[in-house]
Amino acid sequence: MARLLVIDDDRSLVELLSDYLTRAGHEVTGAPDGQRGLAAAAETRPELIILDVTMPGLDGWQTLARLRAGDTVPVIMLTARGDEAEILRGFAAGADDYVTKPFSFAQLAARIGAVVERTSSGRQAPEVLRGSDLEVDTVRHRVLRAGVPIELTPTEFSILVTLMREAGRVLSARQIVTEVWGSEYMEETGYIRRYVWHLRQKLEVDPRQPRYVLNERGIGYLFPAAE
Amino acid sequence: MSLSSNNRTQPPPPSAARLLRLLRWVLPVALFVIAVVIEWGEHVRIEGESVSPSFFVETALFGLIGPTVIFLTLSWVVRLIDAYARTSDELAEVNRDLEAKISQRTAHLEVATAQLASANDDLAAANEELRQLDRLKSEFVSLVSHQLRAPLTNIRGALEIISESADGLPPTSRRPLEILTLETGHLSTLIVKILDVSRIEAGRLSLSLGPVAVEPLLARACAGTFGPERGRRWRLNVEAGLPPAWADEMLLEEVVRNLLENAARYAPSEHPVAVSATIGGGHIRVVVEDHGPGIPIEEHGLIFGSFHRIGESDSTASGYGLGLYLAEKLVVAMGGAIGVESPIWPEPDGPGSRFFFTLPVAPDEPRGLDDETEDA
Repeated sequence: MARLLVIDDDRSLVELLSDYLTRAGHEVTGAPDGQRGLAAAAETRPELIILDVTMPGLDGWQTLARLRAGDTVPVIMLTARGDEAEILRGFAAGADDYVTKPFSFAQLAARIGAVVERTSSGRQAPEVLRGSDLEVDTVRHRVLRAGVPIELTPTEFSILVTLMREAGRVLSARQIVTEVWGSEYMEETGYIRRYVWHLRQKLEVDPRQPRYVLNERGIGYLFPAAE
Repeated sequence: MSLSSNNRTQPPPPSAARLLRLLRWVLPVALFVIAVVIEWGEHVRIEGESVSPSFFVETALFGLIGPTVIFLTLSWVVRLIDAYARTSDELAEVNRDLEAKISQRTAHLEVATAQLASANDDLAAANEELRQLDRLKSEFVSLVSHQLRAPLTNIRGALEIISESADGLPPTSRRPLEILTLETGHLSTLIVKILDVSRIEAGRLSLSLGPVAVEPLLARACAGTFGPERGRRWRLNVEAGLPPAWADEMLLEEVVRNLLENAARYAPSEHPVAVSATIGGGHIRVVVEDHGPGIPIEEHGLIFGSFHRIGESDSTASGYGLGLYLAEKLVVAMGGAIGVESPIWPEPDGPGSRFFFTLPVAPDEPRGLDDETEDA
């Protein structure tokens, strides 16, 4: 399936993961620290690297920075904490996904499958939607306006992505609700106005003069198409 | 404070009093002598009379009556002065007593104040020590939990590897393997919860607030806990037109799941758990009702504390006493309140409990800014 490299100072984990992932059809190499991990990466040219954050010597972040200096190989971080700050830092540093310990091997295997598929089919291009100076990474759930990160709740994010995927087309409140919450909530269009208002407060430079989420009187909302 | 400093009417000085006492005698005697000499001079020397009755009469008139009147007047003044002096002495005595009492009381007060300050210091020190201990405890629990994650990941992984080939195992090993897997899952959940709690206690919880449509979230949480089928294990009733709540989506789902897991753990499966959401008083109120054994009234104030388990002796329920603690902290962090009522049903074998929490309503846009976007 894929050539993988596991970099973790916990030898038992490397051994068990190698065993598990080999059974799942991957070709796995292990490395006990960042230094040897970088050497192994140069030697085996893995298609994906599983990288532990907490390691003695060169830690996960330093290893990631050096990997990123010369390569775009996808990396899944094994974080020791569930902190949002740490996760954001990981994404900012170029990680493709993360798993928080304690994790299940099946969960990690599913993430590996998803990342490998994404990067091999889309060739290093996770789905990034752009419009004006807005950049939305649908995989990492990250929104940048002129390079500055904007924090949205998962539902606000879904509404924005729904509109951006249909940029230039007016979507009715019913269509948005169906897309975001599912068809059983099709009639609950009362939510949308409030969501859009809050979305604009976070997203727009001037919420009273919106540029990204526009209103089409009596019909619905649209994200303007790129000119 | 000194009272004598306020005493403006000083008694006359003792030397003046002594002079007055002396004058009381000296002045009448001198006047008598002068009167006798004058009368004697007038009658005997000038008029050449021998000692006559008129001499005695006049001497008695000028030499006795005048000095006597002066003597009496001066005596009266002396008496007044004495009385005044005595009163002053008494007043001074009273003042001294009062001052003594005040200084005594002040000393007592100072001692009491010092004792109070010292007690306050002791309390503050004890308080700080407790806080320190609490911090240490949180840090310790957090550290241990962090340390437990790595081996736990390995144990889970090893079990997953064994489970994949469980068909080849003798039947006597399969059940223990299932139990091991289940317990390892519980342990993982516990550690994640402990870490969540320590994050909240350390003030490292960051909220991502926004509008949250309550019904889809409740339906998702119910389906996740009890399975997708409605009616059998769970029922959901949301007031029509309920506005979105103002909350953190992920954390709100965590709160609801904690309440539902509690209901799932304690309540019998033949009665569905009833979940509802209504609006009132500017707040959204979410209620979870079950037909479980209920919660004794004396425990109502305790169940939201950490590591408190309902019915400590009940070893069948596998809770760790963190779910409600976490739920309370999260609800409060999102600006709401949480509570419990029990019993809620008349059945003695299933009095049930009703957990409820409130959340603020997501602020609406100011009217007229954006036009109505009714579905076309």
